Amino acid sequence: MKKSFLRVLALLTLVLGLVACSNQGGATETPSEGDTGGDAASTSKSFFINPKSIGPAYWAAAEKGVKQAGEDLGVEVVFNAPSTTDSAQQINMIQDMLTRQVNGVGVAPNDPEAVAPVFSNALSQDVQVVTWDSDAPDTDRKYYIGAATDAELGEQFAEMIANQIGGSGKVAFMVASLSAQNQTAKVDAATAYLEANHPDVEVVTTVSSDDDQQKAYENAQNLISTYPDLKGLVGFAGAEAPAAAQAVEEAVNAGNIEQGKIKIAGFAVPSLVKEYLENGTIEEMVTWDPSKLGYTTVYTLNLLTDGEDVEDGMEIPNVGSIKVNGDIILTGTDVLTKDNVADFGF
Amino acid sequence: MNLVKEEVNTRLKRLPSIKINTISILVILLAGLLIFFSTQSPYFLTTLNITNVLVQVTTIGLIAIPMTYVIISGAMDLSVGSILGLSAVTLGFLYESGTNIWVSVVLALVVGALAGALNGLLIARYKMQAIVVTIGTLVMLRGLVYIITKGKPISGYPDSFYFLGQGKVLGIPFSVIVMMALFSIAYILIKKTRIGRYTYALGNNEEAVRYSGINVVKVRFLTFVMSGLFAGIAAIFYVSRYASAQASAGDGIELDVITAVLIGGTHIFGGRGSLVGTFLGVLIIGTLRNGLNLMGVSVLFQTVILGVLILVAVSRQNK
Repeated sequence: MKKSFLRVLALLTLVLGLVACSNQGGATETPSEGDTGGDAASTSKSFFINPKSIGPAYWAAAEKGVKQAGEDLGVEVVFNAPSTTDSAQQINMIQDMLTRQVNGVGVAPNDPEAVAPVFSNALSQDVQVVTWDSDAPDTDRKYYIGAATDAELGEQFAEMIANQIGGSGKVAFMVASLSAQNQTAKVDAATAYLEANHPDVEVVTTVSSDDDQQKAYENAQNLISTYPDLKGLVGFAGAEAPAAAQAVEEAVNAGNIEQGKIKIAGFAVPSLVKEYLENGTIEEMVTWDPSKLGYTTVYTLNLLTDGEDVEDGMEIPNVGSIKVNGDIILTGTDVLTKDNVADFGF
Repeated sequence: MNLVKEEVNTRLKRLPSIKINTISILVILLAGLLIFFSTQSPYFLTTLNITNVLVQVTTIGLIAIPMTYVIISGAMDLSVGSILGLSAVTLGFLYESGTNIWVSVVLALVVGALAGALNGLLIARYKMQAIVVTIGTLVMLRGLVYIITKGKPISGYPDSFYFLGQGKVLGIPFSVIVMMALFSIAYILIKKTRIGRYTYALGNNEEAVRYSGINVVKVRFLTFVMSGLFAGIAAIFYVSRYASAQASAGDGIELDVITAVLIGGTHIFGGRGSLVGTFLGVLIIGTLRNGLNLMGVSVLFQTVILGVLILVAVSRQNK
């Protein structure tokens, strides 16, 4: 027993040592007094910025914006989340940060309904609450910060493909889900936009990959062989465009279609389409910069805790002008080309 | 045959002396954590935060109760997270399709117990390996959960239902009271009843127990039904607290639960262990997570620290 007591003692030392290390390393904290030097006047404020999970490159890119804003504004920011997209753990973490008496929280909810109780809890403690990246519209959150509305994105996709194919011809839509609201809203907007502005563009079909890259690839192959006169593929989610590009490239290499006959547009994750942009299979895509979302989230919380408010068209440093529509803040999208694809950190 | 029974009983009576030491070590560890975190964060030792920690550990705590029994009896239940998920979405699905909320609650518990009974039947009756069977049900039941919900969370319950997971009695959260009460009942059961003694005996020497005339199948079956039922209870509080039943509810929770039980000194091959130890193990995990959150330590470091804890807990079991 004496032996095991020693072991536990050793463990205790190890645990506390680790904690001390990680604290010194400042894995997630940006203590304003050390880093910013000069403007340490308003150091009392702290914000908790909570992505869906820690790990994916998308969130790491967002963290850069969050930390930059923390430095620029002289506020302490804590950027943390569970290692998986676990709603319960995420809510526990928000609750812990409320205990720490942060002044504001920015949450990308894993389950938009489940965060409602913890949000009202936060408001009762005068903590400002906003959502970012993903909204929880049925809660007491003050603002939602996103890149663009689904309708705007759908219209941008439609304009982009119509433009690339010269305003007439057959296109197919590729979606991640036929039922998810964020997909159907984009498809409806794109369809309506084409009907109104480019009546000669015909949408032959809409296929779903169920968020599976392999299935998206098979879908693209099937579309290419089913519609010999197809001129465009529109990807509505991250997995679609790279799969479409792969299928088109293979069809070109096999001699089944001519280079450049099928254009690709829609939403893209920069790192996934980088090679296709560079070799010309894809000309341009719509994307957004998560670091801008992160920056705007901290900036908005800072305004709210100062008793101020955001305004439509206001300029945010490092982000640009934002659109405010009711309780929704939009930072805008970027057109992704081979020239700027390396600038995105995800 | 009675001789073997006697032997089993006398051997069990010698157990407490070993346990007291393990438990005092756990108390020291917990106290160490409390002292350390209170020096690191002024918010740590506040009533609000302590309440938070207790509420946060109810899910793990409730499931860890039968898990202690299961592991002491020399088995393992990896399917508890999926059973929690299944009970949670059963509750949501039934309520959404017009069933009374309290009827839905009872049926969700029944589903949990039935899932546990399926494990128990295969393991106790048909002598299949517990780890293999529960990996099977872990995968199968989670699949069922996704079929029921089609991947979307089910929310919107009546206010009276939210009392379970969010309400308080005399300032103490109701879910914490239930967890404490169930821990106490389980403690008395394992200490004072034959079922408790048989559970230890099963983990020590299943053959001897069988020859002594004890119904091995029944005892083992019961531990798995309990495991399923408690996962169901945890699911009810989970849905009530988060106001939502999502398909991923309870995903991976078996790891936290087993970690708590092992840290609490229960032997991975059974025969030894205690509910007091498990309770302390649950508190240690909860305190560690909460304290590190309050300090703003990245979740990536938290995972490493929890892993170290498991390794040390198991290193004490090499004999």
